[in-house]
Amino acid sequence: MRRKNLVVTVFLLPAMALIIIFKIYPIFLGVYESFFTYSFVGKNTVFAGIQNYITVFTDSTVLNSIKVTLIFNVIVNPVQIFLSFGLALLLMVKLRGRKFFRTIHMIPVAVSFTIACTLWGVLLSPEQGLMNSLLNVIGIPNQSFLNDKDQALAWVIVLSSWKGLGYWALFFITGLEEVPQQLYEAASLDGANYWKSLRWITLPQMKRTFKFVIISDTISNFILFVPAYVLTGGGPNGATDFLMYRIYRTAYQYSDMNLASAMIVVLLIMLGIIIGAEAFLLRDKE
Amino acid sequence: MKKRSVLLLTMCMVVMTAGCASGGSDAQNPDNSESGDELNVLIVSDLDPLEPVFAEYGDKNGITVNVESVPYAEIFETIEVRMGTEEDTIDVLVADAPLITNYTAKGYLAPLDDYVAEDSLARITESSREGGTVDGQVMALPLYSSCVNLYYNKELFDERGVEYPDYNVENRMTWEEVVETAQQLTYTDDEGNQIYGMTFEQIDTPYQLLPLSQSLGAVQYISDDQTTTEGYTNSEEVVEAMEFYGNTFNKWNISPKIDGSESTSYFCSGQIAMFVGGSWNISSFDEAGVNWGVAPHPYFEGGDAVTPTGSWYMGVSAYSKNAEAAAGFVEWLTTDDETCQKTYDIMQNLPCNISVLDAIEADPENEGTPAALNVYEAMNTAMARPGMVGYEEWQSVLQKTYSDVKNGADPKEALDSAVTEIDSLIEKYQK
Repeated sequence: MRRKNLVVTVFLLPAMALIIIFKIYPIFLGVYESFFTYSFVGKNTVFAGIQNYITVFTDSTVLNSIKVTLIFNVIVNPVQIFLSFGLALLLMVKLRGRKFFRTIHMIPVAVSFTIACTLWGVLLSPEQGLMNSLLNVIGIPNQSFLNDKDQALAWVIVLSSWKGLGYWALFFITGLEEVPQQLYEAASLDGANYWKSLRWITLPQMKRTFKFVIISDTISNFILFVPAYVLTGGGPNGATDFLMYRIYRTAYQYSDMNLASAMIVVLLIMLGIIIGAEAFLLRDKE
Repeated sequence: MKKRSVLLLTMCMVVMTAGCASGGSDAQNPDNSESGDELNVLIVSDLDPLEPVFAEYGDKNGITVNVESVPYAEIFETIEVRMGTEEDTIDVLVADAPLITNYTAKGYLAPLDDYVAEDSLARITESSREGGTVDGQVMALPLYSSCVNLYYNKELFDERGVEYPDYNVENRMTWEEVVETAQQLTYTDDEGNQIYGMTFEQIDTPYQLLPLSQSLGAVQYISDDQTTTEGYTNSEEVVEAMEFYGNTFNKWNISPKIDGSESTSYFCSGQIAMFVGGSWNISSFDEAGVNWGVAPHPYFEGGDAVTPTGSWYMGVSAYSKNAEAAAGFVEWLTTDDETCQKTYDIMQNLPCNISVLDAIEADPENEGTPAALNVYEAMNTAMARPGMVGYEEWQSVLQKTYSDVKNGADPKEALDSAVTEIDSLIEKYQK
C-alpha cells in the first residue's frame, strides 16, 4: 500500500510542482502585492494596508466594472446554459445528417474568440456592416449596435453566446449519451411522453453535467476579456467595462500593479462565493 | 474538500487568463539575443515605410535590425505591458512626444547623454530637442515632427459645384465654414454610396482634437502642480470643442462614425470630401489615385489658428542589454543629415533636422505644397500637447470620452466624468 502511494506521489509530483509554481504561487503573490503600493516620488514600494481595497470599493469606475460584470453574468449564464442544453437536445434527435449538424455546430468553437469578435465587429459596423444592410431591407434605420450604450452589452451577450453555445452543448451531448436508454424505454411503456421523460429522467440524470457546465460557464464569463479588448474598449460610457478588462488596464496601461492585484483578489472572492453557492445549490442530496 | 478544489480551480483559471492577457504580445516578440550584433526595434505601424532605412543601418554596421511593428491602436498598451514587465527584448522603442515624461518617471527609458554627441544634438531644432529632454537629461530623440492640414477631394467638390478651400493661410477656413461646406458635400451618390463632408484622420485622439479647444482659447489641461484636471480638461472651451466634435457626427451628420484606422481608406475610396489629417497620408492618396488638394488647418471664428505638432521620438529601453549600440542607432536615425533627408523623402513629415528644414524652405518647387504649409504652421500655429507625468492615463480616458461623445454622449457630462477618473488615476504620481 505504501509502495503504491509512493508511485502515485512520484507521478503526481511534477504536475503538482508546476501548478504550485505557475498557479498557486502567483495567487499568493497577488494577495501579498495587493497590500502594497508603488511610490513614484520615493521610487520604491511601500506598505499600503487595505488602501487598495478601499479604492476598489470607492472608485466609481471600478464599481461600474463590478456592476457590469454581475449584470452580464446574471443574463449570459442562464441564456448560455438554457440554449446550449436545447441545442444538445436537438443534436440528439435521430435524423438524417445528424453528423453534419453536429459538425457545423462546432464551427464557432473552433474559431478563436479574437477572430470571432473581429468578425462580429465587421458584421455590426454601424457604417458598412451586414446587419444594418439587412435591417435597412426591412425598413429599420441604421443602428449603432456596439457604439450604443443601451445595446452594446446585449450584443456582447449575443456574440459570447454564439461562441460558447457549441462548446457547452458538447458537454450536454456527452451527458445525454450517458443516460441509460432502458430508463426511457421503461418510461415509454408507462406512457410518459417526451416532456415527461425530459423532466423526470433526463434532467435528474444530467445533474452532474449541469453542475459542471454551470460552474465552468460562470468562471469563463466572469473573467471575460476579449470582446471588451477587441471590440468595445469597455465603452460606450463604460457599458461593457468588464472587471477583468479594467484589471488589465489598471495593471498594464495605468501601471498600477498593486491596485490591479487587489481588484483580482476581489474578483476571486466574488467568484468563489458565487460558484460556492452554485455548488451548494446543486449538491447531491442523499 | 470539494469546495476547496472548486475555489482553487477558479483561482487557477483567473490567473491563467491574466497570464494569457499579458503574454499575447510576447508571443510575437523576436527572440532577442544578448549579443551586440542584433537590435530589436519596436515601432508603430505608421513607421513601416521606414524599414528600408532601418535595414540600411544594419547593412552599414553589420548588425541585424529586427523591427517589430504594432498598430497605432495598440502601441501604447504594448509599451506599457512589455516595458512594465521589464522585458529586455526591446532595445529601441518609439515614444509619443508627450509620453516621454511619463516613460521617464516609470523608468522605461535610458538617458542618452552619455552616448549621443553634442554635434549630433545640434543638428536638430532646439524645440524638438527639448521635447525629448526631461530634468536636463536627453531621454529620446525626434524622428520627425508633425503637422495637420485640410486635404480635400477635388472630384467631389467639382461634382457638387463647391469652391475649393484656399491654400493661402490668410484665407484659412473657419470650422463654421468647414461645417457649411461639408453639409453641401454630404450626400448619396448615383450608385447609392453615402458621401460624407469631412472627417478627422485620428478620430477620438487628443493629438487631433486638442486644437479645437486650443483654438477656442484653452491653454492648460492640468493644474500647475499636476494634481488635478478638474476645471482644466473640462473647461468651458473644451466642452464647447467637444460639442462641435459630437455635432459633426450626431447633429450635422457630416462625419462617418468610424475608427481612426478607417478614416484614410474612406478618403482614399472617395467617400469623404474633406480630410483633416497629416501629410504622411499623401502616398496613400496618390496610390489610390485621389485628385487631392491641400489647405491650412481650420480654426474657430474669432479664435486662434492652432495646429497639432509633435510626433514620434525614438528612445533606448532602460532594460536593453545593447544600450550603447541602440543609442548609436537612435542617434544615426534621428540626427544624421542624410538619414533625416531619406526619412523626409519617404514620410513627407515635418522634419526636426535643421538642414532638411532649410532645404525645404529654400526649394522653390515646394511652393503651394503641404511641405511649405507645414513649415509655416510649425513656425506660427503649432501648439504641443500638454506634457505631464500622467499623460498615458489622461490620453486613455480622453480617447474613450471622445468616443462616447462621438456616439452621442453629452459632452459636459462625459468630460466631468472623465476628469474624475483621470484625477483618480494620476493620484498615484503624487505618492
